[in-house]
Amino acid sequence: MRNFRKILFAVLIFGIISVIFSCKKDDPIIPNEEELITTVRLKLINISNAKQVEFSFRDIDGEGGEAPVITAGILEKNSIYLGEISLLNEQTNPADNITAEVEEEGVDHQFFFETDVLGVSFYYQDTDIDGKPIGILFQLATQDAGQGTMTIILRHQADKNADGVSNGDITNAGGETDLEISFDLNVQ
Amino acid sequence: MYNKIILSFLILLITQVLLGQSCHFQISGSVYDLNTGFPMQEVSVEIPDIKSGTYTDSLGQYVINNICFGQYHLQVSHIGCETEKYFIDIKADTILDIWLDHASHELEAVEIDAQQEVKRNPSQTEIKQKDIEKNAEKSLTQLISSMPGVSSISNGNSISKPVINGMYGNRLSILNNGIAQSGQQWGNDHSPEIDPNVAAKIRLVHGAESLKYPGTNLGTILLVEPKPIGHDPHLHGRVSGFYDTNGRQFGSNIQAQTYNKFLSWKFNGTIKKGGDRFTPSYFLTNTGNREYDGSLQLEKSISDKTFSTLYLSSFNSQLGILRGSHIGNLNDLEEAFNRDEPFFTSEKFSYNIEAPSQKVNHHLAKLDIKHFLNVNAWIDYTLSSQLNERKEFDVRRGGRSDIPALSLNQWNHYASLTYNNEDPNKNWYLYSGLQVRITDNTNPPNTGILPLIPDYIEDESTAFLVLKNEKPKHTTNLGIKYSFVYQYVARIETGPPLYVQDYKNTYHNFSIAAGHEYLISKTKKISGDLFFSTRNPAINELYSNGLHQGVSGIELGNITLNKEKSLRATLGYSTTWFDKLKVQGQAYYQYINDFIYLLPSDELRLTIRGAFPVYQYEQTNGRFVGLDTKIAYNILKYTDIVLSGSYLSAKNTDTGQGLVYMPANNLRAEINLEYPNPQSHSVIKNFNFTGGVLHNFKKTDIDENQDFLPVPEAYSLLYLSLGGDFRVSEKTLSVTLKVDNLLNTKYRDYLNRLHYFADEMGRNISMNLSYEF
Repeated sequence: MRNFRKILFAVLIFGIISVIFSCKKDDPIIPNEEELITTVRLKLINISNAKQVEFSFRDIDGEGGEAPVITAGILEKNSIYLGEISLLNEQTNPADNITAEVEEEGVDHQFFFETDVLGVSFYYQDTDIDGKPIGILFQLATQDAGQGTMTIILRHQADKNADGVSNGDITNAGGETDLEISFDLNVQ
Repeated sequence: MYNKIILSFLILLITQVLLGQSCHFQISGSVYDLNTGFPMQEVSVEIPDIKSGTYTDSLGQYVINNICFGQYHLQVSHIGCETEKYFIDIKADTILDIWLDHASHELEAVEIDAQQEVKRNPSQTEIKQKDIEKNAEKSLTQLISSMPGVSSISNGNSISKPVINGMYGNRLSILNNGIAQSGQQWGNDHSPEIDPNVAAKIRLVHGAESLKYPGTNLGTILLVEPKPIGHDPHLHGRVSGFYDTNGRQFGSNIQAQTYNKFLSWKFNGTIKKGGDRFTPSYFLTNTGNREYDGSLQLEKSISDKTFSTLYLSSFNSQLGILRGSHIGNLNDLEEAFNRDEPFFTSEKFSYNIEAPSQKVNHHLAKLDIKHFLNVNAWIDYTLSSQLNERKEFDVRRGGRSDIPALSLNQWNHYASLTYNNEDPNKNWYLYSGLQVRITDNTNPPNTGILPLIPDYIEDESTAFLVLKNEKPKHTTNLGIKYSFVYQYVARIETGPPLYVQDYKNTYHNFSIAAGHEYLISKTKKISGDLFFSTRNPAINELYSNGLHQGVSGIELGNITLNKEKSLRATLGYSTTWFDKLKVQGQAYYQYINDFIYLLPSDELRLTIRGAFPVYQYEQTNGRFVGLDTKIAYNILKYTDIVLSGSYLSAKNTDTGQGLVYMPANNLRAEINLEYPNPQSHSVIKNFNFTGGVLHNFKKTDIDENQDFLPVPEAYSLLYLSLGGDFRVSEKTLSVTLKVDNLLNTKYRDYLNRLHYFADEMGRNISMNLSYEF
């Protein structure tokens, strides 16, 4: 009988613990994605006629979700353009300027430009504190008319001293890709 | 002797002849092999307190004379057996017969119970204390991956989890001291947060019997079991130190325990620090590790029928991840793969750990109260709480590398109440009980990144019943288990704007299992098991959403997933010919209906960081066929040749393709020499040598479209181990020297994620000194 009471007691304790069942989770606090880049704008100015062309890549909901919206401009042949890249986080209001962050950590960042349109070439127009290129400012030169794509890659912690990297060759750069976007490139 | 509970290692038949304070008492008796019942010769029986001892003769008998009235430690050791220690109270001439478990190299083994009983258990594999001591520097996964059928899935040297017959993560529960380890066990880059040095034994339990343990169970579970403190009133313990040449890891383990009528205690502490490992040709930069673990076990007898144990443990680790394996997108991965050595490889060794890295803390408190209703029946009441804190650090922009990119805090509370009856006269043993588990998972919001795994609560209530029937030649196991699972999930959905969506799910899980073991003769045994169980989809399978940096892919949960239904059948056979050749094998067939896996979709998702492959959790039917086998031949006295192998074919029966992330087949050949040196007071004892080769086959059932990159080639590794026990002022100093990857072979392993980026570790020499007091 004493055993029975002990069992009963144990069952009771067990029961009480089972009842303190949590059944609702409080809503999580939505984190502020400070690092996120939602938007890339490419502003190109033709140095001979000051005509401005803009390329943009917007993915407001970040990785996943809706597909990004990409707009591309048309470039004139046999021209030289001055280019500037701006990176934004438009999930915040007002939008965060991520370009400033990249510029500040210039030694750890470098943009690379690639295209399959013949005659199109890119030159860096800025440097970090070590005198190596970053690529926020650049020059784009066109020759003949042509169509293809242009890819812009931002590498974080690339090895800028590796062979060819300072001249814009990504082969030996390493690091990780913070940004990689492609635009249709139309030279007329 | 097979039909009943085989009584303890120690059966005391005390015959009183004389009483008094003189020094003319005698201890005598015989030592038998527990498994065969044959007498064992050359077993050392010692009383270190008075430097007295002897060896058993050819009939297994021993006599120690001239013992004074008093209390002593009796130490019984034999090569191939665990050293057993008993605390004895000598008041008269004493006859003491001892049954030793002489089967440390067998698949099948014998369980030592706290209540001084030994039962034969079907379908178990285990690692014993001596092996845990010799490998104090290893992680739990590294330690057990030498067992047949066990391999590991890893992310570099320090992050790995066990894979048993193809089951791991959500499908395999690891029980630390009877409590299902709770943490982020879903990912391939998460290690179980357990210090194996706390264990006296690590074993696998298959079949019906496993249903009495908590946790997800598709036929196998892994138990990490500390030993009860015992009744020795003196302070005993062990201090060990170790060093690895590869990675220059050093560390120490300290254990101490003492029995006291009021309160008995046992302490275990481990510290480890390691730096960059190296392959045969370069450093694996940022692969260091730190670990600080401590545990305290307190035992108190509340009455002569009620016993309580409080167990507290804390596991804290910091693990570096190869710097060159941190990549942005799919192009980076291909680029990294085509390099001779990874990006960011440093010329110099370093202990530094930078991003990417992990910081994991795991704390456990467990209270266990056992109340005996009579000699054979008891009630067990267990309460436990676990806190798992995981932080993963990535290389980030804007000085944010110190802010975790993934941070998860998980609380787990567990209570169980069981009734157990092991009445040897009735042939039936019964284990039954109720279990309740509450898991509360939270993402602290300071990461600045949307969580991959949402915040959730998961409750589980379980009832189980396990029956065991033992007859002279037949043992039958039956088990049944029911669980009710409730999930409440609060997930952040991508907007814009971002918002929180709640989800509620309920599941009913059932398990039913039956097993039978038949002893054909004293040396031949056959056993079979059938195990049906269901597993509800885990939170990550249902709700993960986002980029999983560890696998460089976007992982999408699938809220339409159903339960997995698994049927596993095993067939085991073991035999011994002329006491020379032992053959053991276990074949299994497992079919999992609605097997949940990550299906790579054709879609490459375009993001601002480039293209990422998209993986979606989907269901198919999985078929696992495997064989684990071990053949040991006693070629010379003290010398065995052992061949073992594991085969597994894991197939997606819907597509006919192999299932990804399943272990490759392997073969192992080993020569073991164990020389006890049976001269009574020789300085070196238990000299042992092992030399072996492990061959891992190339996986051939993975098609090109199932992985980013080709499957690594087959490889063979040589290893050596040399050790012995030295006598130092009546205490034992054990010395072990091991060499892994002796030939400094360059290789890559399919189940290591880093095989995309770098070679495996090169040669490692480790030294281990252990002083027992």
